[in-house]
Amino acid sequence: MSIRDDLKAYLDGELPQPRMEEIRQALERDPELQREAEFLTHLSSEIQAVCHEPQVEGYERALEAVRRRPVTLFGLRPLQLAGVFGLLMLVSVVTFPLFAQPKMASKRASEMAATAAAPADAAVGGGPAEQRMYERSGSAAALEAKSQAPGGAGAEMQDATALALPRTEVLARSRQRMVIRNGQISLKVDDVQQAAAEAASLATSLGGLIESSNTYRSQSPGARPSATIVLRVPSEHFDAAMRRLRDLGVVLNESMSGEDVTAQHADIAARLKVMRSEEQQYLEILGRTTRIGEVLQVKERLSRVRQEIESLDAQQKALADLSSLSTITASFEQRERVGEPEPPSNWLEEAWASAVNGLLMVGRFLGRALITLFVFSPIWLPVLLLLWWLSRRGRR
Amino acid sequence: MGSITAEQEAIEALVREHYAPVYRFCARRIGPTLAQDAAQETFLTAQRSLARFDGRSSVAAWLFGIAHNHCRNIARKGRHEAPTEADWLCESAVDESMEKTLIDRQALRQALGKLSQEHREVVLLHEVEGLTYAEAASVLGVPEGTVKSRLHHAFLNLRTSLLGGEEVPA
Repeated sequence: MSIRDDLKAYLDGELPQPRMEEIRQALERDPELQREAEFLTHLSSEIQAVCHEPQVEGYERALEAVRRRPVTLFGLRPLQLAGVFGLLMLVSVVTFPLFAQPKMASKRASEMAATAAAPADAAVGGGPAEQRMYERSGSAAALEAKSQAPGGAGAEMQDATALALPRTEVLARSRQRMVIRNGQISLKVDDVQQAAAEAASLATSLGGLIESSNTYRSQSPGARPSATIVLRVPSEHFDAAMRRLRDLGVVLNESMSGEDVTAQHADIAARLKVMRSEEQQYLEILGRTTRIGEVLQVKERLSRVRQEIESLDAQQKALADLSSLSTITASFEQRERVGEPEPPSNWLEEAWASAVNGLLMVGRFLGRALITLFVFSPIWLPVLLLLWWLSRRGRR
Repeated sequence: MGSITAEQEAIEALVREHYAPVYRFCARRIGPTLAQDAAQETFLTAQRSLARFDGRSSVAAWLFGIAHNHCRNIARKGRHEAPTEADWLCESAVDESMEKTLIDRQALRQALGKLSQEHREVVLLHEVEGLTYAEAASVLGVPEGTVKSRLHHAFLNLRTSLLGGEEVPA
């Protein structure tokens, strides 16, 4: 770099000492350079002379502005604070289900344990609360998760059921008791006809029967066939039947329920015994009676008792039938086939409906968030107000 | 509580001491009309970020840096008319004709008016506001060497304009 390039910086004293010394020596040697330096110095002072010095205005206003500093909390203005608060709310609302999920799974497992224990209690206990219902239902996804994820919710449910009586013991006890078991299963299958036929053969192979079968296909274009079949299988094969039905396709929905009718059956049996004894007594009286009036009276009573006996007998048989043969309602739905043309759809309508649903969902979500915020205001509002007040007080 | 009071006192002292140079700095760039707003905003920004001032540059350079950003934002939003020479150069002084100078001040005004924005900026910061190269560099957010180079070329252009010759491009 030439001396002239650094001359201005030299005059401003902005160069390192060795370079300053170098230029100083060059200036001593070169009169032309000296004149240039003088010119630059003079130019600097002239610039200052011609530069405008504006009349200062607004000093008081600026001083007042810094005194009237806007209210802040943790260094944030109200709008920024509201933004941060809103963001926190959003994050907490979004992440809440993630944290709540394990707890809900655990809660569900506890409920499962309780329902699994219910029939066992009924078997052991008896008394007026003997008629108990236990039901198990769940979506296909939940069932798959249960069977596929050993460390997931399925595992938790297994652990929970382990708290109840062992399965073999529950089964043994249930055999001594009369339980009406019902099952419902919805499946997506490759071929509805074939699945219905397999389900029917399954019932007969297990010693059961087909109560009803219904196959239908809508006339609307693109509609896929579906079938519903009601099976009656021996109660001891109920679990096996359900298991084999599951193998026919993809489970969409499944539910099972059981009603313990042991007490009801015992009650009917006791009443039958009494009625039969009464019948026997009337028959004996009838054998001894000779007077027409008395004979007619006894016959009338005997007829009533026999009617009662028949009714109770029918009820007893029905209960025995229901408990010995479980009812399973299986619904089959045809799976979409690769290459099968999709039914023509009104995409505009679907898009509109989807958008409206989305908007409603967001609205509901925001509404819930606002309600939660409002309900929890007794907790956060006093804290916020206290902090705000302290902040204001500190600035005075 | 005590720290808040101390902070308040500090910012008020800052306004008292530096308002005039900051105002002039703004007035030379965006004109006196908007300079008040820009200067006030400068001190409000300084108040908010007082705790973050690390003292590596001088307070004046720090304030000029904030003011520079505000002026640039105002200029970008088109809220001001382009600064005229009158905003930063004074009219001929009464006693100027009496003063014997080597340089024709009228010609100097014209030469200064012809400077590029970048050159004019460093001339103002160094020659008028009195900042060192390092301080000017921190205000403009450029390396110190760039300030030195721009200043050198600005003076070269002024010299050329005043004495005749070919100007050095910005």
